[in-house]
Amino acid sequence: MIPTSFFLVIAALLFAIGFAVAITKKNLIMMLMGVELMLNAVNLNFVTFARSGSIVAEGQLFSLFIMVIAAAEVAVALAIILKLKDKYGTLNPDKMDELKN
Amino acid sequence: MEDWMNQLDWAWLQWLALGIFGFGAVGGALYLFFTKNILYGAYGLLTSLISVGGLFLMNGAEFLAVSQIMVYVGGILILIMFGIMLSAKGEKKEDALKVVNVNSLVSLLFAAVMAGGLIFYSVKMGGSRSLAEPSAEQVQDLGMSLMTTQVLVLELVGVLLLIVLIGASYIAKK
Repeated sequence: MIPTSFFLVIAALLFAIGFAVAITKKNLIMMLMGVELMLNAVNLNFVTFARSGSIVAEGQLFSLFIMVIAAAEVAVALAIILKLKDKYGTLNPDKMDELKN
Repeated sequence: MEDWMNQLDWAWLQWLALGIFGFGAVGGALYLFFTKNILYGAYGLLTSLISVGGLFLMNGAEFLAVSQIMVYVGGILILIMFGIMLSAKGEKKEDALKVVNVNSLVSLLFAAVMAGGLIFYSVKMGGSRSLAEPSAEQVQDLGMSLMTTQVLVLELVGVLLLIVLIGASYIAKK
């Protein structure tokens, strides 16, 4: 069997890259993709720890529910993004500065 | 003897699969970070998601691997691509597709520090655990606990999805 630590390293890398994507890209859809990557990394961690735990189903159930919540989040976020595109004509979050100053 | 050979082959194959899926997951994510094209970024995310599904499979989570591919790849990614297509229409279509990177070196450095810390702590926490062999009745266990102990959460998630369905289509309507 492959040791747990390899999966944990991959999950940590995915989380960090997802975070970097979410804070670097100035495009709302790109930021959403970064958040998806982070959620995926957390899922991988849950599944990996579920393998080494005593109750296998618990960790997997957690990541199943995270998956459903991610789907819901993306649906609502894309609806809001389409509305924002209609209103501002751009997807750059820096240009949506109506409440600034 | 033959049994031992089978065992050896299997372990070798497992390391190969870990290499492929790990490279796919991290490589796709890195491609998403470095690309300037939003649609190519979506393809990088696709690679990463499928590879994470493979890693689920290697961890003995068959049901989750299949739902990863169905929900993430078949649902969320298609939704994101539709979002790209729908926001890239109208008079200012170039602006929606434009991806500007700000402070990409700083955030990469920050991400490296974060990854280092996460790797250190998570490996310290879980690296030395003894591993249980994945049980053969994993899907059955999952279904049983979904229908018995976790049934309230299941129902709440169903209601949440209904609300999201109604809410998203209400928000997005003209």
